Amino acid sequence: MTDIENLVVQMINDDKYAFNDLMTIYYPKAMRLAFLISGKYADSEDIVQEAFTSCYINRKKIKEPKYFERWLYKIISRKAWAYSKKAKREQPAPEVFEENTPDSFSLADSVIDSIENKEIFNAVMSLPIKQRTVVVLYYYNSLTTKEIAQITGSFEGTVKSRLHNARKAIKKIIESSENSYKQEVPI
Amino acid sequence: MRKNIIDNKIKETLNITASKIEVNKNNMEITKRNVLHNIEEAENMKKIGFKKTALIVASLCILGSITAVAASGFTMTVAHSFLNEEVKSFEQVAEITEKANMDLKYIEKFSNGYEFKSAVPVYGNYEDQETGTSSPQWTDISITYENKDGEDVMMSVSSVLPPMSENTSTENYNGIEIGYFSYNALFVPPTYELTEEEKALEASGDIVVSYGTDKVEKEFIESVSWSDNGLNYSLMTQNGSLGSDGLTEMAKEIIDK
Repeated sequence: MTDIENLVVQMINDDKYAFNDLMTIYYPKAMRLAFLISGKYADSEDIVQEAFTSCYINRKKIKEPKYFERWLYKIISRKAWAYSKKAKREQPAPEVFEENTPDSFSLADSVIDSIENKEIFNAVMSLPIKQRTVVVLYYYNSLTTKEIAQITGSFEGTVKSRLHNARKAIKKIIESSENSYKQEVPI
Repeated sequence: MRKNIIDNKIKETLNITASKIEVNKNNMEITKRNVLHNIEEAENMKKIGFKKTALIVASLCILGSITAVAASGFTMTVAHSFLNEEVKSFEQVAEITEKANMDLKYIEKFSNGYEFKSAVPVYGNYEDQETGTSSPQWTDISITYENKDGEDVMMSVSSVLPPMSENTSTENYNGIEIGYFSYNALFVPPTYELTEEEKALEASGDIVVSYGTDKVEKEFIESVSWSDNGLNYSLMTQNGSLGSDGLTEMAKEIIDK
């Protein structure tokens, strides 16, 4: 049994110190995942806070400690979806029909140096949230389509199809970006 | 463009972005502290809280709002209490009424033998499920009395929740209207699907459904309610033998305080 698994077992047995250690270990990963899914840095802290709270309250439901991380990702994803749904409800009516414009775009501008990476990141952030979740879990968390299906509560076929469509959309963006770049460069 | 090139570009982009997300140690400590506080609150919340607080709300609300407690409508009344705030000595009641800033009338013992058992502040607010907005929180007080047979009568006092308006009988006592109301309550788990028969009974007003218990429970609820000096009072009993007369006499003793 790994150290993490030991901590998870202790947490299941009501040990809050072990839970505190798990929070320390997973906080950075959780924050980054919450941000990449929600696209909003401000929401990420709330999502992580709610996810950790839910994690401890539902600790007795953990059947296999070795899958704790996957279980945590599932909670974070669901919380991020809930925040996204809530944000849509709170938008004034005309904005609901506009493109997704999370604050990740401005953040991307400040932290991503390469124009191409910015384009790709904006393309990922423009995907519907469930498709974006699949992309993030696959490319950032390096999970398999089967594992993602379990986390998102969908069929593996749906995960594959979402990945395929996302790739297609991103490819189009990259190609169009390259074409416009070529046109701008005098021969 | 080859699939693996796109894959690598997406992977690289997400890794670069994620690595630049600032993970602040102070924020982490604040989050951890908030999480532990939330857990502590959840653990202290009364195990029997839902049913009791639903009854408090129901005993003070108009019929339409009782149904809203079922959490199925657009607007709901949310109430909760904490086990660690319950007081079991009569002298301590003053502490919680003072904290709630409520100058209410209450007694230690009724002439029919019911005696003070416990008291607890109950925190309530309205939530609009459609918009996700909620009203500011208010504090009500709930005092439980018990007779020698172990039967309870719960007195609830609120400055916010309105008194019952659909009384089956009323009595005027020293200028104060005391209304009596009874109904069949059905407590069910949050995911419970009502049977066709239950739906019909709910539609006709013959049962009032509250969602939130672990199992299906039926109770016959009787209550009297009145308003006195800006506060709304109710005395409520489940499956008891007091009836309209017994509860009304108890109300008069509170009014006379």
